[in-house]
Order: sequence, then structure tokens, then C-alpha cells
Amino acid sequence: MASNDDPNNVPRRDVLGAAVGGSAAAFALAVVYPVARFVEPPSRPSGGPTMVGKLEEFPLDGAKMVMVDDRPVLVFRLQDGQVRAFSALCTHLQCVVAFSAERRQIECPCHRGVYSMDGQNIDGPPPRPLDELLVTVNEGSVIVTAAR
Amino acid sequence: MRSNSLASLASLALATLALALAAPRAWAEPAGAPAATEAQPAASSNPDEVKAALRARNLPTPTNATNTCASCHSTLTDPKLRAPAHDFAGSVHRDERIGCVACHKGDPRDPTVAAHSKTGGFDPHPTHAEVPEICGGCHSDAAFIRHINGRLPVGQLALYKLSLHGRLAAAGDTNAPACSDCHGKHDILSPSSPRAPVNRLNVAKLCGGCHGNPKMMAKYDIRTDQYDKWSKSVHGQAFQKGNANAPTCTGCHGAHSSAPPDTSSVARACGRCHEEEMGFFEQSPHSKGFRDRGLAQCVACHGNHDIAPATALLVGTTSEATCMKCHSHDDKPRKVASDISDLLRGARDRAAAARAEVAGAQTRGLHVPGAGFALDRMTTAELRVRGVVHTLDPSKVEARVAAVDAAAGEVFQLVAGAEATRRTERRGYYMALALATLLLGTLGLKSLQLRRRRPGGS
Amino acid sequence: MSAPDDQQPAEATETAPAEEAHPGHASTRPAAPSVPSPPVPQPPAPQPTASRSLAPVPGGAAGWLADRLGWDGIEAGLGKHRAPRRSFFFYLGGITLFLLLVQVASGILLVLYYRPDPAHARESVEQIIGEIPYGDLIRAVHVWASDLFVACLLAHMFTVIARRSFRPPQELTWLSGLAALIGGIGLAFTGAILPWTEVAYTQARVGSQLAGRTPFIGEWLRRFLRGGEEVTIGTLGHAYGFHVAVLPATLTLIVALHLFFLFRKPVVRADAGDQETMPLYPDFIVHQAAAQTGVLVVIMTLAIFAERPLGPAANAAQSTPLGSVPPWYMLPIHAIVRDAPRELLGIDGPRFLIGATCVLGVVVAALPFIDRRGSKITSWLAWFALAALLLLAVHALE
Repeated sequence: MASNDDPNNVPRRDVLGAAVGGSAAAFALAVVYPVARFVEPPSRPSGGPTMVGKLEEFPLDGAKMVMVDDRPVLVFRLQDGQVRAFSALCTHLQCVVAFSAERRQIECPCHRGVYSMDGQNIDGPPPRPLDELLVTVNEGSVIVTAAR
Repeated sequence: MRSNSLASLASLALATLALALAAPRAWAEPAGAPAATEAQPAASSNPDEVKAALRARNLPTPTNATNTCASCHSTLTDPKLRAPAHDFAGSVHRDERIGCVACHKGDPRDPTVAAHSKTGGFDPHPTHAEVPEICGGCHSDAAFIRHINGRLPVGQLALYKLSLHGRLAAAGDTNAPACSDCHGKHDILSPSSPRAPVNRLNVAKLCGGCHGNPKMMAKYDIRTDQYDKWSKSVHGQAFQKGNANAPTCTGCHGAHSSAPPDTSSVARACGRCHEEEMGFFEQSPHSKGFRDRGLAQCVACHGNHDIAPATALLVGTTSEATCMKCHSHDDKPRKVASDISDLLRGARDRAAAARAEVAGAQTRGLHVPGAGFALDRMTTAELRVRGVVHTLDPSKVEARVAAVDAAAGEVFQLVAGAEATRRTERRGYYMALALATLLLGTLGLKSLQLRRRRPGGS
Repeated sequence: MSAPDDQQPAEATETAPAEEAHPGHASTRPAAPSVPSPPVPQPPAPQPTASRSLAPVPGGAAGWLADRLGWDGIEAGLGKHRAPRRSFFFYLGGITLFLLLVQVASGILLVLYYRPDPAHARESVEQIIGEIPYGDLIRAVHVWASDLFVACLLAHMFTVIARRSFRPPQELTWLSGLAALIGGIGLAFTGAILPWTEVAYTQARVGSQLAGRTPFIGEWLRRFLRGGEEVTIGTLGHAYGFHVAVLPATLTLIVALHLFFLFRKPVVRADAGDQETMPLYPDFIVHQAAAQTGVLVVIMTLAIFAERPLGPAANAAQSTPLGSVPPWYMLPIHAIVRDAPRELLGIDGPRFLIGATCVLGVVVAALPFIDRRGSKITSWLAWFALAALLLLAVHALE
């Protein structure tokens, strides 16, 4: 039995105990790390062009909702032939916005946010304008490109 | 073992050597491969010989040396001269084995303007009347065309020549369409391509382009309202909704025969799809009656381009009923019309009642499992009643109406069953609630008793 | 009490010293000893162990069961324990636990038929309501009990604050209770997502986005709740896993700890007098049973007579319906995020408010350490907060 009065004498019991504790902690980390990585959701590759329909399917001087990469997108076809697309997720808390034809503006029903037809946030809680997406019309097909 | 490994090594070396020696022979060009000079066509402009040479040609790689027309015309600056080469390169005919010479003849190997010499047979602008024969030269030659594409039909020219379009064109009328008026000249696409003017998506506009032009049609005394009428008809509406079965012009008139009109049986045209109705019609007294009076069968009651959805309102003795257009003063037909009309109305009412029953159950919050399928079966039975009306035989109509009644009865039974189940379940719930309340009462009393017994009250 | 009959003549029993000398001769007494005879012999102490003899136990089947279970020992033990004598509010904790058990039972039944993928989720719930016998009742019980559960959780917490029962030495009980509150609200939130109706989808979207405004961990939290960047099939899968496995298991552990801490440091000491305590058995247990049966009657009445219709299916490509509101316990937050100014002190409005709420949450968690004596001010503040929340909730509905 080691003498506890002798400061030079480190009892073997303590070293082994510390070793057990240390290896237990290390093993625990080795278990927790893969679990934590597992639980963290993987990010899917997104972005790139999506064909959302033929030009005729979009009402002139109106808006239509389409899905791009699991996100709803409002596509406007204006009188002058321009086609613009905005993310339909409100920049406040991501409710899906709606286009009001009578008031010629985009409205969010959840907390009464209002955007202009340019996507600018003009009233209510939304802090930023709606994200605009790139639109091209290729041979009569409307193609929307989401950012990565 | 040493000796074994030595033996293996030796055999491996021998095998490699054998392979190396045999290789050139195994992968050598086949003996029968034509050398560069062999397969050139004979310097001939006889179309048959050109064709024979084209057929005999096996080489797969096209080079401009075999189609010098395109190699020169695609570099020209005048758009009128460049366009044909450019269009042709994107068309279904873009194959050096066909080339420009298949229609325009001339010498494909001559890179000089001498290739344009008329004495060589070159024809830059075939006349309107010549076009069908030029196209038909390949397209009705079964032996030739099946080498190019085994699925291509060969009857177009024959049908066209018998049609009014073909007869007028052969007589020199440039209004009547020849092949190139519908299919295009140099930019011909396969009819299955959505951009082709003769594709079924586009063909109604193509036909309407001439048949909707009053100035053009005045000469022939043909009406110009067909496209409008068809657009509003049940066929046109179904077509616009994207139904691939809905007929456009060619669906009834054929692509090259343009008949009807000029046919012995309109019912055959309609019966291509409406087979059961055609069969019933031919069993009925109308079949002979219409033939004797020269009436165009289906068209007499349903119209030709402006066909409306067929409802029970067509049958009966009211002033709007189609039967009364001819039979307003005939007793026996009036009786038949009125009987059939009553049967149809009965079926319609019963089906509507069944649908209302299910809708009512749903608003009451009652789920009726299987109701959807039962309603579908009833709808199918209703559709089957429509066809049998053409027999003009009330007993046959009654048999099919009975099927509708049976299906509707099934729906009523399902709803009643669901209601009965729900009533039983609710009774069970009320009983359970009553028992729970009883338990609550007894526990509450026991609680109070214990509370009173405790020292100090509560 | 165990039978005093001579079943174990060989075992030592507490008898008068005079009878010990001759075990086989209990009937013959020796001459009166010089020592005064002791008073009436004590009945033998209750035997906790089962009988070792094969002799039949009196009392029929019930007696046999009582003997094998050692029921007398249990009864005596229960009888010894005392429970606090408090007002009705004291039962809220037990009621909340009971509601949790109701949810577990009805949830286990529902999980047999529910299908957790967006294409079939709502259809499977419709099937439960329409086709499975008594499915409508079980689903209605689960839906109503979930609202009652959250209400009782919040009421229990409120009464603890208002009556200042969080005081030391109850700190661990208090903290574990807060953890249980978070778990319970988590269960309610994830459960509402599962039917994948329009309302459920909006809730998943807005709720996760709001959580994303939490300072520091917001981004991670949002992706964690959604199972990815967007609300997709992964979100439903995550919600399902949490609602059915992770949260129930965690909550069971937390509630067990909560009760353990409660019993280690009881609100009322077991040896406080009759005025402060009542017997655990039968009094306290009967009162608990009555309270919980009352809750059961309320749930059943609501489930049978009040409707909770399912609502239309979720459609990602559709605008959020006008008039969408979050569940009632989120209404105050709804009012805040709707009418909050866009910027407060230079920070984005909602982020500021969520941050402020988190700070408030930390303060509430640290209550036992801040207010060690349980001053009346805390009670007043609790009532004030309740009034403010109710006003906000009413405002949210305007």
C-alpha cells in the first residue's frame, strides 16, 4: 500500500483511475461526434436552371406560382413582355406570399407584410425585398435559375 | 514448384506471341470493303440510276464531295440561295444519300455551276403539279423507302391523287395544296416533331390557314367556319385541354385522302373512335332510313364540326330535341323518343340523388369508405347508357339504365351503412362518457368523505 | 397484518419469555416466575417475505395474490407515507402527467396507422378518422388532450411561480420542470406538423424560420428543425422522429428526474403534522384519481361533442391562406412579430425580440437563485406577465 504522506509516491490506483476516466471521455467523444454529424441534416445540391412552363401558360399582366428547387416562386409576365421571377417566401418569417391583382402588389397574409411588384418591401414587418431570380425565355419556354 | 512456374511462364509467353501475330489479321479491314474509288455513282442524271446508286451506296460518312450543292450554296450571301441549303441541313431529309439531287436531280459530284445544266436533268423549280410525283418518286416506292425507314407508309400519293386536293392540283390549280404546301419544301420535319406544321398539335391551324380564308374558299363555295366551330366543339375543347385522343382535322378527314366528304359512310369516320355507337346505329332503323334519304348519318343529328357534348336533351319530344327536327308529326317515333327520354331522365335523377347523398354525408362529417369507387362505377354505367340510345330501342336502353340504378343503389347502401356504424359508435361513446362521469361521481364522493374524516376538515 | 396463526412454529416470534423455554409445550405454563409477567403479548411483526410452506392461504384467490405480492407490507408502507395537504392547484402537476400518459397511449394507437410522408400523411389521418373503427375518437382525444396538456403545463408553471414553490431547496425540481416544459411544447409543435395540412405546413415553415432568429444558434437550429434548408419531406420525417421517439424518450427521463428531485426535497416535510399532511393511501391517491378522472371526462366530452376538422392538404406552391394564425400558445409571439418595429436599437426587430425572450427565459430559469426567499414581488410579476400575454393573444386575433 502506498504511503499517502510521501509526496513523491504517486499511488498506482490514481493513475489507473485517471486513465479509465480519460479513455472513457475519449470514447464518449468518439461516439458523440458521429451522432452529432448524423443528426446535422445534409445539404442537398441546389441551384441551376429549372424549366417552369411555356410562355403561354403564364397570364399576361399577371403572376403564377411555380416550384423551383422545393421553393415557391412567383413569376410575373408584364405587359411589355418582360418576365420576372421572385422568391415567394416572405423575408420576414417565410410565409408564402400572394399577388393581389386588384391592389397590384404582393401581400403576405401572416403578419401583413406588403411588397411592390418590383419585390421591394414597402410596408409591414419584412426587413428585405423579395429575392429576385434570373429568368430567361428560350424558344417559348420559361427558365428560372435559382442561386446556389 | 519451380518446374511448374517455369511451365506457366513459357505458356504465357507463347500465348502472347500467338496473339500478337494473329491480331493484325483479326482486326484488319474486311476484304469486301470498297476502296475510295469504287462506290462513286456513275456520272448519270437518270433519276432511276441515281437512285440505284444511292441505294447501293454503303459508306456511312458523308462528305461534301458527294453533295457539292450544299457545300457551295451554304456559302452564298444571297439569302434566297443560301436558305435552302441551311433549311435542308436541319430537315428530316438531311442525309447525303438523299441530298439535293433526289428532288432536283443534276450531278451531285460536280462542284462547278455546270451542275446546274438543264441538259443534265437539273430542275431548280419544280412546278406545283410536278411536286407530288417528285415526292412520290421515293415515298411511294415501297422497296426504296423501306431501306430508308421501315415504318414509313407508301400510300400517300395514291390517296392524294384521288382526293379533291390532288385532282385540282393535277389540273393546275395552285390553290389546292401539293405536298410542299403542307409539309414544307426544304425544311421538312418528321410529323412527330412538335415543330412540324403537319404535327397533330399544329395541323388544325395548317388546314385553317386555307379553309379559313374566305377569298380563297369563295371560288370553291366551301364554308370557312370549320376551325371556329371545331374549336368550340367538344372535340376542340378536349384537344385544347391536352387530350391526346381528341381528333383534329386529320383525325376524321385523313391526312391525304381528305374524305369525308366524298365517302360512303360518315359513321365509319366517327366510328373509328365511337365504335360502339356506330354498331348500335347500324342496328337501328335510322341506318337504312338515312341511307335512303341521303342523310349523312352521325352528322344529321350531331353536326360535323360543331359537335356539342351529347346530353339527354338531344332526345325527347320538346322543341329543342333533335328527334323533333324530323319526327314532330310522327306518332310512333314520338312515342319512342318520349320513352327513351323518360328512361334517361330517370337514370340522371337517380345518379344525381346518389351524388347528393354522398355530398350530404360529407358535409355532415360522415366518412363513407368506398364511396369514391362506387360513384365511379355509377358514372361508368351512365356513360354506357349514352351509346345504346342509338339503337332507338327502349328495352335495350332500359337494360343499361337498370345498371345505373343498381350502381346508385350501391352508393345509397354504403352511405346508410356508414351512418349505421356511426350511430352505433356514438352510442358507445355516450355510454363510455356516462360511465366516466359515474366514476368521477363516486371518486368525488369518496374524496369528500375522506376529507371530512381527516382531522381539521380539508 | 399477517396471520398470527402458528404457521411457523420453528421461527422466532416475539413471545413472553416464559413460553420460550419449551417451544413444544405452549399449553403448559410453568410456575409463575419471580419477574412480573409482561403485559399482553405483542402480535408478531408483519412478515415481508412470502410463505415457505405449501399450506393453503386463507382468503381464496385474492388472499393468495395478496400473500404473494406481500400486499400487507405495501399497504402498511403506503399508509406510513404522508402527502401534502394543499389546495387544488397542487394537483396540476399530477394532472399534467396524466395528460402526458393519455397522449402516449392515444399516440401509440395512432402511430399504428399514420404514414409519415407528405404524399400520404393527411390521407392516413383521414383514414384513421373515417375508416378505422373508433379512429375518430382516438384522434379527437389526442388532439384535444394536446391542447389541455400544454395548458396544464403552463398553468402548473404559473402556479409554481405565483405560489413561489420554486424556492430553494427546489432548484433542481424547478430546472427539470422547465426542461419538461420545453419538451412538452416541442411535442405539441412537432405533433401539429404531422398531418401535413395547410396549417401544419405553414406552422413548420414559420416556426422553424422564427427559431432561426435565435441569437448565435439560430441558423443551425433552423436547419436542424427543418432537416435541411427548405421545408420538404425531410422536415416531416424529422418532425415524426422527434414526436414519436426522441422527445417522448427524453421527456420520460426528464419527468422521472423531476419527480425524483421532488421526492428528495419534498414541498412539505413528511413529519409535518396532521394539519399539513394527509395519508398517501387512501386519501391522496383517491384525490388524484378523482382529479384525473375529471380531466378524462373533460377530454371525452370535448372529443365527442366538439369538432376539430382536418383542413385542406398542404400545397407548397400555394400562398399561405389569409387569416392563418399559429396555435393558441404561440399567439403572443405572433402579435409581437407582426407588430414589432423593424429595427430596435439597430438590430433586426424579430431578432431583438427573440433575444429578449431568451434573456427573459434565462431569468425565469434562474428564479430560484435570484429570488431565494420567494418574495411577493415575484407573484405580482407573474400575474402581470399573465395579463400581458392574454392582451397580446387577444390583439393577435384582431
